[in-house]
Amino acid sequence: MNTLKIENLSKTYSNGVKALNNISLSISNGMFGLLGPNGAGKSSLMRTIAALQEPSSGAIFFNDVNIIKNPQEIRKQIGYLPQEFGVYPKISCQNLLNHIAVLKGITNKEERKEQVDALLQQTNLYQHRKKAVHTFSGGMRQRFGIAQALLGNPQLIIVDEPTAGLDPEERNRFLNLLSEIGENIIVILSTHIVEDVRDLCSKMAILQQGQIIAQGNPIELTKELENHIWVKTINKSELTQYQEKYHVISTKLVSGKTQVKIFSETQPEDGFTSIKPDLESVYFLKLSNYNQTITA
Amino acid sequence: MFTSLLHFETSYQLKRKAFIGFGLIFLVFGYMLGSQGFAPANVNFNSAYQIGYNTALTSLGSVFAIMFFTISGILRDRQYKIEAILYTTSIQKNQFFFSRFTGVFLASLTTFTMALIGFLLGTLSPQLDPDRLMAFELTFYLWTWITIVVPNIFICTAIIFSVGALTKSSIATYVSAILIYAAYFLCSIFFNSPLMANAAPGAADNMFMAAIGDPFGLSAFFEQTQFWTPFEKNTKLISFSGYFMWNRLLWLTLSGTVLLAAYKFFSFKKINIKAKKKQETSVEIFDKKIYKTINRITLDTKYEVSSFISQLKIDLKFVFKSLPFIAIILIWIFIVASEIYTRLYLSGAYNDSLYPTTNLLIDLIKEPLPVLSLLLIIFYSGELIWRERSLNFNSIIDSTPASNIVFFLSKGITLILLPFILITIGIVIAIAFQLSSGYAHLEIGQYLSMYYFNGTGFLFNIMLALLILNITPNKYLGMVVIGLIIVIFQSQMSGKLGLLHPLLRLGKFPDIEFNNMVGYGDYATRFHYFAVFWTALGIIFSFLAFKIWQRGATSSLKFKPQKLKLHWSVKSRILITVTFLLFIVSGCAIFYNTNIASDYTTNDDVLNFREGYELKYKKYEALASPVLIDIKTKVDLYPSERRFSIKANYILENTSSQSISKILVFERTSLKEIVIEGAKLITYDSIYNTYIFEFNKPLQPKEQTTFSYKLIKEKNGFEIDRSIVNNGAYITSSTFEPSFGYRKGIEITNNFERKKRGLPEYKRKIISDHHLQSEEQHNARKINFETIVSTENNQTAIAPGELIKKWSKDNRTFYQYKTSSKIVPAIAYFSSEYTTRKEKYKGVSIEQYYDAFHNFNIENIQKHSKIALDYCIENFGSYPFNHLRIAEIPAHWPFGGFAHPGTISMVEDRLYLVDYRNTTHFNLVAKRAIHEVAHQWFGHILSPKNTAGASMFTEGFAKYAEAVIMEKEYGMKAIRQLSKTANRTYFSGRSYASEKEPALYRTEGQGYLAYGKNYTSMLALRELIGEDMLNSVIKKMIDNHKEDVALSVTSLEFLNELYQVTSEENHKVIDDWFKRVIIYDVSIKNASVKKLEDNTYEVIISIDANRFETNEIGEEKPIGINEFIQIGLFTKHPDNIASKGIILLKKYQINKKENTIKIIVNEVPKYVSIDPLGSRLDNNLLDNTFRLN
Repeated sequence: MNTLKIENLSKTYSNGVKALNNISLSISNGMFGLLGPNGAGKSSLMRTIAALQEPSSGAIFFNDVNIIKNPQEIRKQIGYLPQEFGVYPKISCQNLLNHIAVLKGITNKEERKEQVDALLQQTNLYQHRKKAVHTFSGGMRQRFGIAQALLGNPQLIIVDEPTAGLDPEERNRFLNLLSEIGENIIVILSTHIVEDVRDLCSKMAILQQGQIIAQGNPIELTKELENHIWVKTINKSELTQYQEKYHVISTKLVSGKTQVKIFSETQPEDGFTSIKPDLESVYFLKLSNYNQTITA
Repeated sequence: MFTSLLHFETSYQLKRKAFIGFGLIFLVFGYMLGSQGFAPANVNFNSAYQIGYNTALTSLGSVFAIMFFTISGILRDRQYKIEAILYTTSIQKNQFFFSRFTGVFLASLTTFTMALIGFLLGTLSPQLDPDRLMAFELTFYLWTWITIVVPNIFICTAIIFSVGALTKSSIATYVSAILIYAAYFLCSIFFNSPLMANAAPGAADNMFMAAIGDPFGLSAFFEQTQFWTPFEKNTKLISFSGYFMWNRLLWLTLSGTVLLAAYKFFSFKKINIKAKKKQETSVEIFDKKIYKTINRITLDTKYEVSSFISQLKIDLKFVFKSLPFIAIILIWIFIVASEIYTRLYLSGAYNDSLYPTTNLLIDLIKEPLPVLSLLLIIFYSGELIWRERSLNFNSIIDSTPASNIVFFLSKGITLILLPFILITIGIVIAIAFQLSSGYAHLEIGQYLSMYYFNGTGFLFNIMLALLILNITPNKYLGMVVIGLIIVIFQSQMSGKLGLLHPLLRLGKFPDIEFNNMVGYGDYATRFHYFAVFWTALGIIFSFLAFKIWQRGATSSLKFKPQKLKLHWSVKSRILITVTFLLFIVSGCAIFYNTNIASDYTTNDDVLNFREGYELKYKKYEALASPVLIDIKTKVDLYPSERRFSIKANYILENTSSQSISKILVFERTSLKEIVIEGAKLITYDSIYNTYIFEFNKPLQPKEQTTFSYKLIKEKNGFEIDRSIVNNGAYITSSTFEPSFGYRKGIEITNNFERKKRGLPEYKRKIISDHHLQSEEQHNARKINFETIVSTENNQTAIAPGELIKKWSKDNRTFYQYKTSSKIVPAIAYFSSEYTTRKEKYKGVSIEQYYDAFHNFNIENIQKHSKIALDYCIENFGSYPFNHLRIAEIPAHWPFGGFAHPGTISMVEDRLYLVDYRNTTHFNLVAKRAIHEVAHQWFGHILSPKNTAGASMFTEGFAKYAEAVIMEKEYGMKAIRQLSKTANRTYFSGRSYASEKEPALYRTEGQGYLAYGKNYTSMLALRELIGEDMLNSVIKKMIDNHKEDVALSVTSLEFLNELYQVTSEENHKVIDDWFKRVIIYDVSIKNASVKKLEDNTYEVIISIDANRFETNEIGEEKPIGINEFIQIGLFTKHPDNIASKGIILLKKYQINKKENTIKIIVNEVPKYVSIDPLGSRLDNNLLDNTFRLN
């Protein structure tokens, strides 16, 4: 069983931006979802775990080893798929994987070939292995990304916004792949897409402005909201009134009409119907709660 | 629309930091050039010539700015990914293309114009000598701007912009800029532009190619101005004509066409996406493999090695397959091959060729090597070190356990390979040249030493680049900083910025000279010290670079010092301590050897010395000094220890008419002992190296005394002494012999400098004809000479005089030489491992001493020494010695040869390595041998009074004898070659003259008169009175003076003899040649030939003839012509005529500007030529010959 313990982690950039603010988390084997809007600090956190940047304060322990002090320890065991990445042009997919495999310490040629080929097959890139990665489409590129993250002996895999820009089919295939490998190791999935977390993760945290504003099991978090979420279709012009009157957590357009979703422990006025809460409701509620505390 | 786009574009460019940055750089650079006070002698700092020259050279730098603006002007849409947005607007292709172009052009033009403004401001600097500044002339600047700045910026912008627009690739844009440089570079090699530091000017057809082919017009500028006198440089604007005009027009048209073509093919509004190839659907059958993690991962040394190799492969592949690398390699191959070819083959001052000796080829390779190597290093250090980050691949790579050392070493080694590859390619080409020309003496060791002597400097710069690029926040800034460091510390600039001491010049390695006789000599030792010193610093740099190696997210500069403090292992502590100690120790050693063991003198120190000497000793100027009349020396040479000692006993005589009570002795090399009989030492001034002796009893006129001294000359510190070397020692008395009396030569002559120091104005002695004749000159006499010179056993020692005795003792060989008659005191001692060839010829032992490997031309030398002896004995009287020795000296001596009495020194690469295997070429070997043999008569037997006009008797007569003998042996083509060279010597020499050109009979130190005008005037004289008559006049001079002990003959005496044998009317032309400063411009305008009825041919020739006289202020004014000039009719081009082919060669009277001459001959002529032998100074000899149809 692997454990990743993050203790009071903070990061302030030289321009004064507080990217991470006193974060503490404890993660063990399985898929862990890190949810948050753009700019919440997810990538900063991921990079810090991957020893690509140093925190201003706090500590990270992976299997009880302080990896801030010993970055080499985490590098041996991590697979990292950054949010955006480029590759050397004009180098084939297979050769590039091979190169990264060498850098990850697979010095035995046969073993390396075996693993690279297996990964190419698993990510459905085998028939494209002779092509240069920089000519790949978005989905293929992400699959390449996960293949390189799985090279060697990763005990911790970090994937940063992996599904952005993928079509539904690609996304499914990708998530399946992740869940397959996520059984015996830690996989941290950072995303702003709620479904990704809902579909895959047994544990999650919500990050906003560098702080953890909620964490737990997605199902349990959802359960807490049972009977507290209501929707109503209204005219767009009425929106402001509703916002003043209720705790609106989200609005969306349904067939051209505005649908408001509110949080209320009691039955609101007529026309609101109770719906079964979903993870999205949790997410929006937490965010709006956080925003209210800031403005208040 | 266009205007608003243009407005946007211009203001976009102008608001960028780069614009301000480049503008400032150019402004400062221009200011520095302007305030430096750099200009050839007598040329005003702010003359049109200087403005044009400096601006044209600086415009080479504009390419960087243009490249930058182009990338932001045309490639920014792609970089910032707004192409798609832009292309959906209503902008038309033409509006887009030309507004962007104009934006780039205007931005480049504005920034570069700053250089011109900076130059103007610089000339206002108070440091400049006001006498050499003229009133501000706006037209000078405007004209330069219009003819040089605007076209150059347009040409470069059009080409670079077109490439950028068409390829949309920044790499291709860099390459186009490099190619423009390459064009310039090649042209400057052909033309030998001043940037390339070569004295010999290019051949005429090369000049044409260079003048036309240089995109910056620099070569054309030099072509037009090459013969401009200082007066013209001060007064003339570059004229928009000739090659310069054609160059400008050609390149403007060419670049305009390129721009239009680029516009035509420019695909606007099409985002460049390559259609994907249809995916192959064939299903591959493969074994199903299951993903398993690999648990046995050990990060051991094997792992480090294999990651390093894997990374290195990727970095190497990137560099070797990238366009700039391939382009530079191709350019390099082209440059090396063309440079070797053009320098070896018919490129000498006499159209001579050289043997491809290894050291010569290495010199040719190493000259252009730094520019290309540094370009590669700067460019690829930025690209490689920032590569993963630019590609955004760094987070994947950086999260692997691969340690920094893997990336650091991979990038470092890739960079080191760049200069390594260039050097290797150079060597391969050089060897190919040697083999193909049948020169099998390959010196592989010498080639290998290139990697050390020429490569270590690059290694330092790479280590420096590694550090800089890890400090700077982006790669472009890093590249600029590296470039600036190299320019500031390692180029000529550093001296101008006051960085003079070699320890302050970061990464500057000392120069190295290699020649076949000496090898690297003392240069090597000095180099080793600096190699250790800078490499140690480089290792410290790269260690720091490694410590702060960027990993993960970029941390800002202020965190880097913290990073430095982390993780110091014991090993790295030891390594850095040892390296640091090495750095300090070698630094101290360099300081000791530069400043303490040998004299470290700056320019200021030298001036202070000269000022101090003048102030202290000027009062002794009028003091008469005794003169040497007898010299006996004992010289012991220790070449392998770079040391010699001398014991000398002189007899002095008071040859003046006054008695001498005090005597001033100046030591050139510090003396161990000095005694003057009958005199006692009053003071010794060790600062000004001066002794003052006082006679107990004043030395009366004609009275004699003895003078003896001892000295030991040793190599001190890094001092490089050319005279005493391991093999090829050549020590002339003027380098060590103490001199008597006040040395006027030490005084500062620059009046601006004198004024600053409060010294009175320096006035040159004005010599009147009366002075020439009657001035009492008592400081030089012919002398008796005797020496015992010893050297190491494996070497031969030579000195003037007959060899009396030779013996060996204590592993040393001793030679006793003694002169049989009095000689001019031009004494030298030689020692070398010589091979000897001796032959008795008509009572004279002709002895050659040469390096065993340099035996190519020995027979040639022998043959022409005999021919010269025969001719001179027959025409000018007997030869006074029983020997004629010719001894080889190393190539570091900057002259062709030097005639000592009975003994001639000849320089290895000027004589022994000349390739005369193709006997249809000019026989330079013969020319040099004849010239130096002739000096035995002209300079030794007949030695002129040491005053103005003396060179007529030495160089003038020797050149004359050389011409006459060469003509007898090789015909018209040989004499034409000599004339061409003499003409060029004259015209290019006077264009850089530091003083007003005197009339020939008053020549002082002017080489261009001694070797140029003397020659043509003697040839003209021969045409006028005939060879026999001229020889008899010369013979008469010799007969009158050969017994003189005092050197007394003057140019006036020679002219008087000439007047005696010529008619009154010829005196006038003789005076024109010898007493006035006149040049000619004769040419054949047109000529036709017609067959007459009696089978004869009538040739009608129209001739233009002009003469110009230079007046007091240096201006050339046309004057009339009326003299006889030869016309020749030939069956082939006179350049190819040895003996056959001359139909007629006859003098005709030329007395008008335009002359028509009718000649009837029996044979049909193909060529007609006026002054075919080149006896008149004419800076265009080509138009003297006309091809008949």
